[in-house]
Amino acid sequence: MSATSTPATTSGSLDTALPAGDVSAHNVTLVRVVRSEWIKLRSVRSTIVTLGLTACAVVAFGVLVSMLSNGAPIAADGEGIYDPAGNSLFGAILAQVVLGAVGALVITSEYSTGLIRTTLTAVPRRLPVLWAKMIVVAAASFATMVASLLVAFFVGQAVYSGGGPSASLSDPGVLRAVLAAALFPTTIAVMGVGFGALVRHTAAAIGILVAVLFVMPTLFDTLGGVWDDASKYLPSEAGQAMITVVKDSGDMSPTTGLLVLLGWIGALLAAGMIALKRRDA
Amino acid sequence: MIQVTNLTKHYGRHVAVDDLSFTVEPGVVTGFLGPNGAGKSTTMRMILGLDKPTEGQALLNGKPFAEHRAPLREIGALLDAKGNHPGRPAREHLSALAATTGISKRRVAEVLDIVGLSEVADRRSGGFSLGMAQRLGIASALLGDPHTVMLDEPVNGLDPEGILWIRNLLKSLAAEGRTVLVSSHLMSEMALTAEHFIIVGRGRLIADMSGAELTALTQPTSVRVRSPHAGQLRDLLAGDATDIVIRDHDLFDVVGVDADDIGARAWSANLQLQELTPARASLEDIFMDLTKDAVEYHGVTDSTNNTHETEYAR
Repeated sequence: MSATSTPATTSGSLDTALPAGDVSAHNVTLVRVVRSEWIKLRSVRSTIVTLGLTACAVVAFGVLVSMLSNGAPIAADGEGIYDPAGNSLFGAILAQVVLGAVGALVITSEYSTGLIRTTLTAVPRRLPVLWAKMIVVAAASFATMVASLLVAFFVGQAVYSGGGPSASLSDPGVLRAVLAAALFPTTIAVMGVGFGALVRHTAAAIGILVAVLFVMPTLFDTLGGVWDDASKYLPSEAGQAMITVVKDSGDMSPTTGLLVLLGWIGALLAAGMIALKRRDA
Repeated sequence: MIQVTNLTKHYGRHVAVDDLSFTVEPGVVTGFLGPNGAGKSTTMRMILGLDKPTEGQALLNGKPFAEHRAPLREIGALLDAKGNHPGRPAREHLSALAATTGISKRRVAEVLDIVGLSEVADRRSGGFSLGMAQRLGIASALLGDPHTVMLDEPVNGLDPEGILWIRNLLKSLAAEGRTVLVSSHLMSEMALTAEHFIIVGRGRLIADMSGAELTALTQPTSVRVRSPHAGQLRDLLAGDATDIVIRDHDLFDVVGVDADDIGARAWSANLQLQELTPARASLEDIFMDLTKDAVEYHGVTDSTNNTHETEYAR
């Protein structure tokens, strides 16, 4: 304890920072819980580093895909395999799993460290904690994605400008695609919070997330038939539909894609709320 | 004030807390004692609404804890010293807690000062020793300047200076009129701090009384006598004493005659006394006695080394 100074012996008393009887001024509100969760998110260095690395990866990946696809011939049937805007935004696909993991960790790390008990003692009604975590994770993810995707887009289009057709933000559907590409990983991050609230263990939550994002699409394709039809309602497919600017005829519309993702979030939020409210902490 | 009524908690078939009822009054430090696994922590979690009781209820100032709008102003709790993200600095941990209920940064700095962590406040708490982590937990309990303070095994990992500090802190909190509930499995520690004791074993209430009432439970008291004339003194007392235990050639314990009487008789018989000590059972002895049937995990030890302490007390 050499690092600690000699403590005072009193409790810091009623009349210093907190006036006696002034209890109603300290009611817990959602805004306050959001502020609390924001402090938690930004005060763990590994989270900030992860978000920063995600942004770098989004830019790097978008530029890489743009470079690799630059000058590729347009297919004979003219259907959209050449999507300059979409290509530069490819990093969003990569970001989804990282941000999903960040979302899961925001809640599972509280269970693994025991912090959740402190948190729920401060907010014993519990549900505001889940909402606040989702809001904070969504805001941080969306901000990270928008910033990095805009960089990726402009650098990507600069790559294209020498060769084939390139896109501009003012082209129809392009700005929407950038926002959609930011929104998709954001929804996955929020789903990560939901999975985290449900299973409470980091490895399990991330495992489920990876299974839903990557294993289930392949599995559904293999099963074929009805499963194949159902696969487009998986988050990864819905997200893909949301991002694509030049779309294939059979694809879901971007709006439907967003609605499907919101449906997933809604279901997970409901399940997470029940789990958080009912189970012992 | 904490009111616990018929509180019961089952985990599957294991009964952790069994029909527990007690009230913790403000103004005194109440020690919550019991062997490991007695249900102390489970009870505290139920008071905080973290675990749902199978039956019964716990009220804090007349309401279930979750119904309070400004919970940190009502109760400050330390359940687990490690209850923080290791990557988060102490100050940010407290700031995040404070933010939920609109407590100022100034108060955060103040509680850091109270627990003596100001100098390390911006270090990540993962590097803290157990003692420092306990102090951080106590800081979080004091943050809302609450009416009730509830600490689970707060002296764990504290150095002697820290133990003295927390003893004084708890007493001053109680003296300010707050409700203070502190759990421990060590009576020796609580005996110096608490005035009232709630003792549990295997989830059941064993005793709920003041230190004086607890001490009065033990009968009879013995008197330790040391004298160069031990043999003659024993003969003198033999008629009235209910029991005499010889400890050494010049040392014995007497039950049934009080110290004043022994002194007077020795004086009138002209026998020199070197020691005359009324021995009362310590609170620890009483605690061990009360909970001996309720200890979940017995260690098998040769207890002969301890007989000197405990034998004549019972």
